[in-house]
Amino acid sequence: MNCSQNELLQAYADGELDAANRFMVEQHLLHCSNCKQELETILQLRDLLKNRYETDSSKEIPPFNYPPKRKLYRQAWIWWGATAAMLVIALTVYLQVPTMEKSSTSDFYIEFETYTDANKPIDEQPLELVIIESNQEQELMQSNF
Amino acid sequence: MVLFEEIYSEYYFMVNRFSVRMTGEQNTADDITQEVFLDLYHQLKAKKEIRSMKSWLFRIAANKSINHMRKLGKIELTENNTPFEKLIEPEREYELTEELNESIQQLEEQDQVLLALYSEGLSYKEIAEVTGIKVTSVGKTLSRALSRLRKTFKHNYHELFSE
Repeated sequence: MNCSQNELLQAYADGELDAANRFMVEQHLLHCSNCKQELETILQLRDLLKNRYETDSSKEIPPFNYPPKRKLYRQAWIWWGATAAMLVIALTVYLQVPTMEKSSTSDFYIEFETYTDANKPIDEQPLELVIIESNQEQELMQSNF
Repeated sequence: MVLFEEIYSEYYFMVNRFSVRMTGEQNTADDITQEVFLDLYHQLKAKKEIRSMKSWLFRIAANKSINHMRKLGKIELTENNTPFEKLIEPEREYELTEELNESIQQLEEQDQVLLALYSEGLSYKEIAEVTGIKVTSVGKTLSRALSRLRKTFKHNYHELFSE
């Protein structure tokens, strides 16, 4: 050991040296007054640092302020659940639409173009049906009963 | 959460004292301590792993204190932010403590953290866990930080701690 190895003295003061190094430092301290003085300073500074603040023994630990429990609408799973439900509803409605169109007659209306004679039986009357789609495309359908 | 409450009781003063050492303000230290344990609460609730509780708490407290110090730019002791309960000690030693605090606050951020951990009595191994410095380098790094403190202290006030 030489006198410039300050970290060795520091580690010695802190009790961080193994037996071999501790022995080496102690042997050196026996005949080196400078290092002995340095060790004194290290210990003095260490005590000063450690005693800078001390917990008042009468002081009580304040209660921990637990974070407020998250409200229902803030919980992620609620949002995922709501989104999934919306998707299911939207999908159901979408799949139902063609069925509804088939059964609906609201997009069509029928006009009787020809004059009918009420005195004749129905199978002797010319009948012209005009089916008009809602998009204004007309499809003329003639039917003779 | 029984485990959390046990940890809170066991480590509260340790974290609080360390935060005072770092910031020099009791009120700020109380806030930081609360934040540290709030982080721990969430950490435990999320079942995240904590290898060493003591090191983890010190690390979080150090980071929060550093953030606070960075925001302030400089830590100053005022009447409203009185230091933690002082030891009842001779007047001269009290003065020394005050002067030492001021000298520490003039050091680099890393040195301040290191000295605060050292003051708390952490072993080199624990200091390494908190700071991320290699265990084998802690002695040398700490010794240098202490030398810088002595230099600043001597420059400011005393011949007591010669270089």
